[in-house]
Parts: sequence; C-alpha cells; structure tokens
Amino acid sequence: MSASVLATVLFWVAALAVVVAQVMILRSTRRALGALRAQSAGSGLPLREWAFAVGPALLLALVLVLSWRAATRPPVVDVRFGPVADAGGRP
Amino acid sequence: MNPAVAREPVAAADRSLLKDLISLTKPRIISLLLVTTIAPMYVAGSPSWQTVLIVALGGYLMAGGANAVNMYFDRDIDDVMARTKLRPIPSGRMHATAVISFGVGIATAATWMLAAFVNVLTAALALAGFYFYVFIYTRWLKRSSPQNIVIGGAAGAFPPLVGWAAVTNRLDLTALYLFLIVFYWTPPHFWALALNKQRDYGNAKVPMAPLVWGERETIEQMWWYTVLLVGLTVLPVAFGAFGVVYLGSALVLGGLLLHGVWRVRAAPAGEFAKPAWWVYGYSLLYLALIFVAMVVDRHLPIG
Repeated sequence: MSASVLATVLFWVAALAVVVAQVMILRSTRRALGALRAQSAGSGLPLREWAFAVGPALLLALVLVLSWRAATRPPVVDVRFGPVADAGGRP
Repeated sequence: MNPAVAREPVAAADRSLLKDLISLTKPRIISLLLVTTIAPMYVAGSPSWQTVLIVALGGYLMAGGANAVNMYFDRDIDDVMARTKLRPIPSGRMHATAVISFGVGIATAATWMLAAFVNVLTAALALAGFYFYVFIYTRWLKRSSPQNIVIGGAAGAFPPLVGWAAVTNRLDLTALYLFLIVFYWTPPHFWALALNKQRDYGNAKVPMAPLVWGERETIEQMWWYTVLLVGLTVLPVAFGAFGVVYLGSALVLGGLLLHGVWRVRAAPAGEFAKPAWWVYGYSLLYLALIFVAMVVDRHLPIG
C-alpha cells in the first residue's frame, strides 16, 4: 500500500472519529440545555450556550477542509533544489 | 540590639514575599504551558538557545501575570474554596492592589520583551492569550456558563501559537492543529477535576458542568471530547506534518487517555472519583508527552 493511500485512509478514519465525536457533543449539549429549560421553564434555548457549542464545531469543519486540501495537494517541486517543504513544513 | 537578630525576621519576610509572588504566577501550571510553548518552537524549526530563553521567560511572565490578575478578580471566591483559600489575597498576606499591579507589571514586561527581542506577532499572540484568560474566561465565562472551560480553554491554547510564531513569524495549518489539540484537551482534563471538586465549586457558585448539567452528561461529554482529541492528534500525519514516531506515540498515549475516561464512564454512579483523579493526573502527562513526541518525530531521521 502506497504512502498516499495510507495517508488517505488515516485522514478519513481520523476525520470520521472527529465528526462523530463533535455530533455527539452537540447532541449532549442539546440534551443538557433542554433539561435545564424544562427545569427553569425558561423561554427558548439559551442562544449563547448554543453558540459556545456550535462555534468550535464550525472551526473544526473548516480545519478538516483545509487538512483535506493539504493532504491531497501535489508536492511543489523547485527545479533547482528538488522537492520543497510540504504543507506541514516537513522538508 | 544584635543586628543579626533584627535582620532575621526581615529576611524571613522577604523570603515569604518572594514565595507569595512566585505562587501568584502558579508555577506548576506554567510548567506545562512552557512545554506547549517551547516544543512547537522545535517543531517549527531549529531556534537559537537565546530565542528559546527569551520566549520561555516572556511566556512565564505573561502567563504568570494572567494568573496573578485572575487571583485578583477571583479573590472573593478563592476565600470560600478549600483549594484556594490559602492563596496570598484570601489569606491576608498580600493586598489585592499589590497583586493586580504585580500581574499587569510582569505581563507588560513580557509584551515588551517578546516584541523587542523576538517579533511583534509573538508578542501580540501572547498578549491575546492574556486578555482572553483575564476578560473572556475569568471575568465573563467562569461564573456564567457551564461551558466556561470549553471556550475559556482557548486561553491555554495560545502558547503553541506563541512558540510557533517565535520561530516562523507566521501561523499555518500545523500551528492551528497545535492550538486545537490544547483546546480540545481542556474539557476532559478540567471536568475530571470538577467532578471531584463539586462541593468547592458549588460553594463558590461557579457553574461547572457537573453541577449544572449533572455528572452523567458531563462524563458523556468528557468521553466524546477525548475521542475528538485523539482523532485530531492523528490528522496532522495525514498531510505530512508528522511521521510514524509521532503517529505511534499519539495512538498509544491517546489510547491510554481513552481507556482512563472510559473507566470514568463505566464507573457506577458516585464511584468515579478514583478514575477521574487518574484522568486528571494522566492528562497532564499526556499533553506534555504528545508535544515531546512531535519534537522527537521532527528531529529523528525516520518517518
């Protein structure tokens, strides 16, 4: 199995774990906020608490997209010096 | 009067003041912050020892300043928590004004030092971490949201950015991952402590997740934050930031952390204290070792 196939498999397995975990965190937050609302008979879900849960999830989605683009980007080749640093800075 | 006798209490008082000033900076916490600051410097490149020394000193003063200012703003609740009532302000050994002056003073010195001897981006990031910790976490979220340490955790995630910027004078995707690793490490780490210190936090009216959401929901979130964290530590390998040495370390260290949190999750109601303490202690070691593994991976000629 080539290194690029391994890297692709690694990306999708790790990304799946991250996405599933993030969805479960959002579900848990919804449960917790729902229980609080039922206790206090408040009006509507506290938007701020939702923002605290959703904000990091959006950042994470952006990072996953950037990571996929970095993982699939072909290496830049400098004709004078050979391959230069990849997206991770590793020479 | 024997001068030697007169000097002794003065010397003892000086020693005591010095000890209090050091304790205001929370040196034990900062030692981990320094690992997450200096290790990224060696991941980003090969910094000179002078740069490492200045960043370490500047980082200590900035984080120490933030901790001192935190003790100023939290002096009312520190007095009612067993864990914090012996701190210099609640115990009456230092005046609150002296504490905030000290905190702001050393943070200002750190900003100048980093800007003058390293670069402006490094100083700006360190200062952003200071402001985030003092105003977003301490003043706003700590006493108003059960997700205080989720969002507030970003303050503790600035040090890797500081270290990275000190060497490269820019930020990139790998630096963002280092930030996120500390960010997502924070909830399981602090909730493991909060589970065992609920009475303290309750007395101080700090709405930690176990008190507001309940223990089960908090443990559930600890588990999923840990799964997310372990996945996140593996992802940089996929785009070539790290190699097999780091990957192996991340999987072994992460596996142990997952096992520890699983034990908390599987414990019968009310019997999670021991595994939760284990998670709290091990997570400190985990974070330090994962950053050390990054450095080793970058500087070993394999992978």
